[in-house]
Amino acid sequence: MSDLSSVQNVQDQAKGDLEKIHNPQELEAFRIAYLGKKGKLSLLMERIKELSGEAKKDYGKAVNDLKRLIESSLSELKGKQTSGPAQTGSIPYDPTLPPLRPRQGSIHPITQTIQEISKLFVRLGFETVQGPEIETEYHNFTALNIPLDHPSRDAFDTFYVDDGRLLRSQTSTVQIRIMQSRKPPLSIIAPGRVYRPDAVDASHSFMFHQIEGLMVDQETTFGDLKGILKLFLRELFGSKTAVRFRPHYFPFTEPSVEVDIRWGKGWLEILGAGCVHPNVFKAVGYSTQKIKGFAFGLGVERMAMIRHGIPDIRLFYENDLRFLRQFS
Amino acid sequence: MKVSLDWLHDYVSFRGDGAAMAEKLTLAGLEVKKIEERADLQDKVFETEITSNRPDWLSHIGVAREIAAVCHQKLKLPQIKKRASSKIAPKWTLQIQDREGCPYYTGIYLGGIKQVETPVLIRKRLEACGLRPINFIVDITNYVLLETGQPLHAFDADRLKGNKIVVRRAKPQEKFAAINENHYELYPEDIVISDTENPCALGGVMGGKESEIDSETKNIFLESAFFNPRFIRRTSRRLGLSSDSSYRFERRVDPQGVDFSRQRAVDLICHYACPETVGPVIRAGKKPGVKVRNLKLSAKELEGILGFKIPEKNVLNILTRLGFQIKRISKGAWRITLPSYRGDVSAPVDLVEEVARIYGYEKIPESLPSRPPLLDQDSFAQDLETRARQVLCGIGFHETITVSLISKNYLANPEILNKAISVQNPQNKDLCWMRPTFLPSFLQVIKRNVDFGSKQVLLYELSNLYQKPVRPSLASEKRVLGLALAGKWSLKNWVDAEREVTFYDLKGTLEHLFASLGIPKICYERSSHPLLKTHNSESLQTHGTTLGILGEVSAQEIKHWDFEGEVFYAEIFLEALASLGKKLTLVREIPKFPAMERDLAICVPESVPSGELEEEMRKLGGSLLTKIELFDLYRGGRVSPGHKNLAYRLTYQSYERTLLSEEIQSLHHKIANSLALKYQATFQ
Repeated sequence: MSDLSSVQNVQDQAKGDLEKIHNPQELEAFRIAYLGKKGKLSLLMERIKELSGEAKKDYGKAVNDLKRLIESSLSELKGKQTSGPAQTGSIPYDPTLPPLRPRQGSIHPITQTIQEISKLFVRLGFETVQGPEIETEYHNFTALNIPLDHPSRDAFDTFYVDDGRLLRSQTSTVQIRIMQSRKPPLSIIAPGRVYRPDAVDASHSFMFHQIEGLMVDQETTFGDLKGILKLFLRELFGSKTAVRFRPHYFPFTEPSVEVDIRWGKGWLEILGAGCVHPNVFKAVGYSTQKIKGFAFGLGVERMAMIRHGIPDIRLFYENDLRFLRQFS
Repeated sequence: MKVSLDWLHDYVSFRGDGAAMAEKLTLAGLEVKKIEERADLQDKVFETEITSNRPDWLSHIGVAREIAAVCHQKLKLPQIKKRASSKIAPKWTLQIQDREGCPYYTGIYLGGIKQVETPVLIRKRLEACGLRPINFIVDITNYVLLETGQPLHAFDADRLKGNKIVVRRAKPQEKFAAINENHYELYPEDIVISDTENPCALGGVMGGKESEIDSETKNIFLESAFFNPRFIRRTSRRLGLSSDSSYRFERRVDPQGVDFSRQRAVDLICHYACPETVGPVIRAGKKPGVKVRNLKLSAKELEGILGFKIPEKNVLNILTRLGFQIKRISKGAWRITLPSYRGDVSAPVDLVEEVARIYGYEKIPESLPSRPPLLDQDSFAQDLETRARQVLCGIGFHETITVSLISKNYLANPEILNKAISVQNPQNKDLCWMRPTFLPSFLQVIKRNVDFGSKQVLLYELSNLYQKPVRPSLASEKRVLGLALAGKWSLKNWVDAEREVTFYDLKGTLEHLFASLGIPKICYERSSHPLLKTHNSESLQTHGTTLGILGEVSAQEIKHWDFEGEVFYAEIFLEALASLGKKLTLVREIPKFPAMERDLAICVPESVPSGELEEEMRKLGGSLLTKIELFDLYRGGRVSPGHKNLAYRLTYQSYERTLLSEEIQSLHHKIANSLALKYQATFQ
């Protein structure tokens, strides 16, 4: 029998014996039989003296390999027999085992964006309010100085429900409701869902979220509008963000403005704003002589897409957990 | 609109390569989206985006006027040579049958027009603006449209039948063949220009094939009119037919431009193509809104709105260059006369914007309002939502935002459907119901995630649900927190085994949530809900108010979505929850005396609810029994069929003294014996 085949022989025996082990006693007996002082491996090891050169080297390696194999099989068996939840503490401590993390949920990125923006405005003295989504034409258009024949009143641009009301197409409705029920001064922001029959694509959805803001008292000016909005945008996008105010048109504000921020190489339109139109004050019964104010509105999805690099608006409404978990 | 820089130079002089001008115009509200280099035409083209209130910017003269204001330059309008009309009688009588749809209509006959090529300059400019040169006459009408913003239409006079031109409403189902080769069926809301037989043009939208100008045309009838924007928009939208003409009419053209533009076109045609006959102008109706309009503006008003004083000199200069006429009433008070092309200006505040935007928004200094802090009037409800989200996120639930509109197919249950509000003009025919429940939306999300391999789907959403109000005075929407649980409650890992979600996980989640929100004691009542399994649904009550519902989703609903497994669902009504108010924690003394625990394993018929047993134990145990925990529930094995074995751990404790072992033993026995009697209970 060659030397190496005798090692193989012992290995085969060990394999058979290992399978017969069922309790700690048998395990211990096996350990003594193979790894004990007069065990089979010691016997094999003794024979190394009789060899020399290449053969000695090969033989030594084979015996050592077998020893390691038996040791690891043993410790595995030992683990199986002694482990189990109750005894976790008693087995050898392995810090590399995966940690047991508690379940973690998430807050939707749209909500997170609303919360973050609200937080900034609350610090500036604004209060968060809500209003209904099913609205009257009066609140969505008439009171906002949008004339009867304005294109946005068409069924192409607004959803109408069965009782003649409509789904608000802008959160500006909330400023009307609040002004109707309270006296100035007011500083409010109103986040919420709005609806427009747009065809759905990567950047359009027929439902999306807006945040409306309104500040009203006796001497709120266009300068205040600029001051507050710039402060807000720099808080949100960084203190060095370049902000520009561009004239625009909204029926319910005058002067009206669109606000852009510098984004990469160009300007990115970020929100619309303006001084509250006197006709809006008239509609809610405020004095157009004494009361001044400004309002602004921004799209939440757009804001979230810019800040988080979200390429497609539809991701927000699919609620794929692989998307939501990234906002844990 | 595409604007040729070369062309603009006819009316206003300015220097630079266009980029600086584009920036200036953009910052004055006339947004230049793009500058296009047209080396082939030796021109540059601005692509502008116009707000709906400024149709006057849809012309080169309008844009030039803006440049004049921004750059302190003078505007030069084209000089029109007055062409004497030939001494002939009008070829047609003209009648407007619908003054509302078309308040003012004019036209002129030009006969014996020479056939000429369109001059190169005009051709190049049309091309720069994205129009294809067609023939001399059409090119001239297009050129004037781009120059003044007034759409014109030329008819081939020889193809008009009879001696009458009528502006009227279309007849029901009247047919019209347009020059774009399409046939349209008209409605009585459309305005047509008709000869004695048929409509020759869809007023303000498109000319007719029948009377179309071609390269052979010698005699024309040239129309210049004012159409009601509302009519044009309605027709254009319904037919899905938009033209350069309808685009301008629906935004309202300058009524004073109607005659000017016709004269301009006549002048150009006479200049290049010497017609033999220039007919008399025929007109009908009246130019709308051309009464001189004045507004008062004061320096005080300007400063009050802007928070900044713009020097009087600048104010006057800006308004003058924009075409307003100014009369000084007193120091710092002016009467401003409005030009007819500025229909958008109707109040002093509009003038404030004009001054501010040309002066430059960037030059108005920023300020921060100083004012006393305002009381937050509605913070509790808001706060509740924020905290609910935090709590649910903290225990592994994911917030969804699903669309509020759902398909009828998802609302198969008639009891639900009858109460739902429908949208009359849905964007997608499928999505026409305002959802009265989150369930279909949740099931869709669960299905999606399960299909993509999620084993655990724990969801919540916080938004409105909608329902026809029982009385009109009541709200048709309410703020609701929805929860849905599906799949595994815990996942397998190297220590723990996995487990499916149960009804009790939903209940536990709610109790945890309420406890975290400081909501006082809630009780459950058996209840029924059309979407939930009848034997497994409850409502949440407190002091007679229903706070919500919870239960296991019925098999029918789940089957609809084609997946297996149980889904548990709850709705919590947030207004009701918020109305309970916040309960401040009042601290109880930490007990000084030791507690004692005794187990009680009890076997009862299935019909006995655990809650009732607990109630009974609590009653019997009195103040000494401080806690009851169910630690095991099993069936089968030694437990006889139709029975269940419940194992409770009872904790006894007193705030006053150390309890004696015998005392507890006897109380514990009393409880056990009493249960045995009342519920035919046996003990293990």
